[in-house]
Amino acid sequence: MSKFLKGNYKVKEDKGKESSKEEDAFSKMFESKAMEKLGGSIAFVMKGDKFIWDGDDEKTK
Amino acid sequence: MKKLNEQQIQLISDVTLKKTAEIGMDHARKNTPYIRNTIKDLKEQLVENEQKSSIIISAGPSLHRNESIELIKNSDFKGYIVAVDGSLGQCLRNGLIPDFLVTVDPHWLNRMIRWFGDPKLSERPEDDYFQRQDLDPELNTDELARNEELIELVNCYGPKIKTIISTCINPEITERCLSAGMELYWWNPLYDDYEKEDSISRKVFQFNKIPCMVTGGNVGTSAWVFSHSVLESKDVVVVGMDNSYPPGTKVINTQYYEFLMEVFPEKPETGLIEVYNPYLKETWITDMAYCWYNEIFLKMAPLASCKTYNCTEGGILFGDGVEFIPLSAGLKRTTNG
Repeated sequence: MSKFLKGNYKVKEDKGKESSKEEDAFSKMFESKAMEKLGGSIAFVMKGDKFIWDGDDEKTK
Repeated sequence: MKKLNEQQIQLISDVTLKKTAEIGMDHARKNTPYIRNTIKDLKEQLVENEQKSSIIISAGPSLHRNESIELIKNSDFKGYIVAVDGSLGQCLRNGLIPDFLVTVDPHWLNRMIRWFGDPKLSERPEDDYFQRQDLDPELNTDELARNEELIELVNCYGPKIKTIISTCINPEITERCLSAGMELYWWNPLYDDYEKEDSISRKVFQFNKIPCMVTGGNVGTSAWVFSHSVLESKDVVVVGMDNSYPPGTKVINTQYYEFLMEVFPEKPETGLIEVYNPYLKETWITDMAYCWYNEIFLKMAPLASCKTYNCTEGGILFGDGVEFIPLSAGLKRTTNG
């Protein structure tokens, strides 16, 4: 049986795996360095389509 | 390098919050004695006025390369001129006095005070931040003399300018604005979700009762938010908003050069991102931080109550909600103010 299962072609190198390994390594390095050095000028967050929050829910708290 | 993915965008948002919240809160406490008026007071004062368009003058390299200020000055534009701190010097040197000036960056080194003319420049540590970059070319040579000229200009025109000042700003800048006779209108940056437990935005609001405004991560986008949310402009033109560097810019002349050197010591340019601008038929260069600003702007633009015309004539800010047109065309659409 083994003679029929013998491979008769070369498996192509999985370049995708290699590049995803590289990307993972880059992501990890990016994250650690970003924590030290990167960042914008000021924090950003947005809730829905509201651009100004004037504490309008404060009275009900 | 490819454009940022959602995970990386979130990471930069988290890092920025971590870096700016504590210092922002500290500055907000120190700025408390100076607070008189807020953007809410300004909005009430403007209610009686007719609605006007706005032009945001951001400080990217296209501002001086395209001589945008000159074109605005020579036009019939009658709306609001909203400058960011980084473009103040260029505006005043070219005879354009902004109605409003926006400032937000709480940077621990207080580099931003340079934009106002720094009375203590000779005492500061060596810093090549301004010389390395293509921002305000006037600051690239003979720094001390240029600084003295800027101090005089800001002192001369300060009383005509309303400064939209964030509570997170270094109190030295507050004092500089006041010494120049500027009128101050305060706002808190919206740091995080105010409905979350231990929200920083809510904490700041609870102690100073000042409205929180979405920032967009930088001063240019904050100025755009201010224009449509507080001034209620229905047409907003932006200039100098490159969010990138012109084709051919060397990596050493980019803002995050030191960061790129650490991540890619052999080849720092690997960390730059190329973006093709089909309107200009040019490939511009951006980095992670500017890419983050750009993505944020494009997320917010369709939600805004204004039409946004990007008349930078450079850079990478185009997409849904942002019409990329020449400044001459933008001015024609908004001339009546």
